Amino acid sequence: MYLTREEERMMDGEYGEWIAKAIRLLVKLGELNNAEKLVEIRRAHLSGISYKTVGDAAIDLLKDMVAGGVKLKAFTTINPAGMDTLNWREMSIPPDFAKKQKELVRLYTELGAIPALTCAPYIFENKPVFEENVAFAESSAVVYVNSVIGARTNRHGSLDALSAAITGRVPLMGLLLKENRYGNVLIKVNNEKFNDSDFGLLGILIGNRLSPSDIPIFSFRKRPDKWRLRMLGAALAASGAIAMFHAINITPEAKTLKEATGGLDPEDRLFIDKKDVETVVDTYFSKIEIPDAVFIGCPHASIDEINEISALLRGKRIKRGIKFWIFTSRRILELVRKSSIYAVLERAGVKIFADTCMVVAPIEEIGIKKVWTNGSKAAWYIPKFAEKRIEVEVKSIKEIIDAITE
Amino acid sequence: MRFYGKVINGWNGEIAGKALVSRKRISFLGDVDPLTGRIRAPDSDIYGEKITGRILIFRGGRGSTVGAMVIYSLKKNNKAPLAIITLETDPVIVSGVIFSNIPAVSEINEEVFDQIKTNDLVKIYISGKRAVIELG
Repeated sequence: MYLTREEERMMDGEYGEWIAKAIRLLVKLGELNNAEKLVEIRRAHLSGISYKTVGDAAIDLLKDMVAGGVKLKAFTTINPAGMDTLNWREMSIPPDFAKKQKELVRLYTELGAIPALTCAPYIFENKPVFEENVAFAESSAVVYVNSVIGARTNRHGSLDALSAAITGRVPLMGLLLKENRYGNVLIKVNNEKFNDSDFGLLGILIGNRLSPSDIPIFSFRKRPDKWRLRMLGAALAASGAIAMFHAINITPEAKTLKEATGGLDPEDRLFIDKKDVETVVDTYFSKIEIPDAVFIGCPHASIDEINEISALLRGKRIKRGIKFWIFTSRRILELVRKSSIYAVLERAGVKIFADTCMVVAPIEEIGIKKVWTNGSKAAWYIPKFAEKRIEVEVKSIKEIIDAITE
Repeated sequence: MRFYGKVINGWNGEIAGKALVSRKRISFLGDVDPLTGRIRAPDSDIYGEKITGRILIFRGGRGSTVGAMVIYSLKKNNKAPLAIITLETDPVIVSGVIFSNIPAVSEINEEVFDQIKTNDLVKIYISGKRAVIELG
């Protein structure tokens, strides 16, 4: 692999032990994938922030990096933590957990990361542009920036994204190269009767059928907005390790089918209807009569999505004993608070938390057993993390609100 | 008996130690206790064994990407294996061994499972670009 003199100096340890380790990791990944060289990046986004998922292992590592004087070279934001960092008591987070979580966030910020604590940094805090090379680690953000924005990132793990942030470099390989960004499986979707949650279910269905190197091309009968595409991408990434998709005449690298495939014929074609996505609920998820919690915001809710919920809740009240929690970024929560949306939600009994979500918060420790959500990614992960002590059902926002309000 | 593999994280000279062999994949998060180095996954074929100070030979990685950080914790706690040898190349293990400076080899032949057994004495060294694994 070709390295610049500067990169060789990094490898040799002239800038310290941690920069040497970081660049050695990137070079090794590059060599394993036949990369020619490293390329510079200006932005990164890291996963591995919640104490629930990374534990003391991450604290050990980050403490040593801080002591070693590491400073991130790329502009870097970080994923949700295991709790709302200001309002964790209201989430019933155990104090020991809160202490460890604060320590973990503090260590990341000492390295120079911006504590955006969101899985959707592309809305405000860290927005790549078309064809920009970046290093993003959160799988739902990887799919979103590749597919909907047309920026370029591989599906990074937590340590290779951290190495990219430290060195400001990534190996030139995979989805950074245009020739690897063409789609190969055409999926025609009759989505005329789809609601908000059906796009995530479609993602679970397709993610399970395709292999990680496939790039699906969706052809929708009715144009979905970008938040529905986001639900689709998050579920594709959770169930199947898919890092990119195209939607014909919607996403920027797929004005036509020909552009999406690079001129070739698709290797495979699938036809999907409302009844196909309904089978996903029976195959993978539970049926729940009455939930003890409703969780919205996987991925972190956008202002328009919160606005939609507020419109449906106007003049209604959530039944006693059912928690209705929305998860979003701090920045969006502050905006919502200043708008008229907030009063409607508050009156209905909704709570909005920032910095965290239902997947990475320790919800199995706060007595929740039955969950409804419109987000398929959350429904996919929660029962696994909770070792089946929590059941989850996917439903549309409207179905949920009709069933639990009075 | 000799096996050849790809050097994932290099070392100097010869390393000799007792093998610990599993035909399965390992998720360092969950399957391994970072405080003791014990395999705690009930479905593992080396359940209850300690990986500390041994040449750990197994199929590859599974599960969480946080595994890399667990490998680092093992090293910090002086519970790491002497070297890691796998059949498959797993990015989580690659990043873990590089950050922790643990000698590592991958892409060795499956036949290793028939030839090298747990507690056999094994030595490893680098010859040219390849890693060599020798029994006895």
